[in-house]
Amino acid sequence: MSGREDKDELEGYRRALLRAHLYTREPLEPPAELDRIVLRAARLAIEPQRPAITPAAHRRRWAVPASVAASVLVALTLVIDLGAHSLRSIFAAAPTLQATTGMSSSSPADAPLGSDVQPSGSGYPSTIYSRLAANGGPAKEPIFEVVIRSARLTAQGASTDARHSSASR
Amino acid sequence: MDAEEDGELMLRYARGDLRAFEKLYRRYRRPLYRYLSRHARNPEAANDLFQEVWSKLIASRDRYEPRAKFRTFLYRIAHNSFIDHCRRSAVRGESRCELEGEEDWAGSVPAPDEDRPDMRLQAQQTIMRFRAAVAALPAEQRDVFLLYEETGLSLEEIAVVTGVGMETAKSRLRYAVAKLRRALCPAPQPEPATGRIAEETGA
Repeated sequence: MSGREDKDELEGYRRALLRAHLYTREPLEPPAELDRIVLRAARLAIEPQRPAITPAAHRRRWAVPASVAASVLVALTLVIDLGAHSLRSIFAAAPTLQATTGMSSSSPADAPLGSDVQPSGSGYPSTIYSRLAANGGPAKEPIFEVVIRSARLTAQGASTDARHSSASR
Repeated sequence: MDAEEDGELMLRYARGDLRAFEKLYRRYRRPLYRYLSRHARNPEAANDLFQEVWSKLIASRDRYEPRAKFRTFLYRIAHNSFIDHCRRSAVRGESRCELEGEEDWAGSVPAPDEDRPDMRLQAQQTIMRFRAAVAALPAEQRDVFLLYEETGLSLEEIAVVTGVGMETAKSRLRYAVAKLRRALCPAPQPEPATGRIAEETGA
């Protein structure tokens, strides 16, 4: 192919392109959606390299609240346990109180269940425990023990007051 | 456009700078899309290829070396992606992957500015003839032609991208232009040549 022919063919081609406005007018470009996809992929690719929240940091974030919650739980348990222990100590003095007030003990087996909380003062609290234990009940339940002892102590106090008042009359 | 700066942007992106990537993307999104669109000539295939090229570029950010020109690097990925696309199409039993969706492209051609209907029709027909002529080119010649026209790569860079010698790339370009000319201008007119192809191919 000679230089003259080259020039002819190239110029003819160029004129055709210009006439069609092929490269100057045609708005051929990627859709916006494609732009978003590519840029998102580029961002996601480098995200692990950024200083992000690592698993260790994530654990540290929860460490303080978890510690506080655990501490509160332990403290509450201790307080409740100590409180119950103190009450047990108080109730342990109940026989002494019975002796000083002159209350008599009847046979535990004869006493009805309700009699433990009656002001008659008949019977020792272990009566009800033993009977409950025999029935498969919560004989060794600390809270139950505390409640029963507390009720019994109240009843004994009321009975003592009644005797004192009748004696004074 | 500075190739050194492109390389620096790519290195910055590899270090985690998203802004650097956005700059690169803005620079190359359009020429790359045009190159792939002309090749695939099917909007869906062009979109898939476009996304694939950028995904490969993103994935290879750590392997990029600044001594290679960025745009050569990018278009080499695009060139190889298109070859893979054609192979996949051949496996699927599509006879000519580049001819799929011809009607779609024809329908997407915008009307030129001429108000006269006859001129508009003529321009439209010229575009269609040109596209048909480009589609009819052998794949290697079409590749060199599109890289030259759509991406602005030099013949030397095209040779690197396509993995052939400089003279081979030059020869392919000349053959491609000759065939396009025959398809578009059956009656050549003797006028002086001006333009990039004439200068670079030695005409």
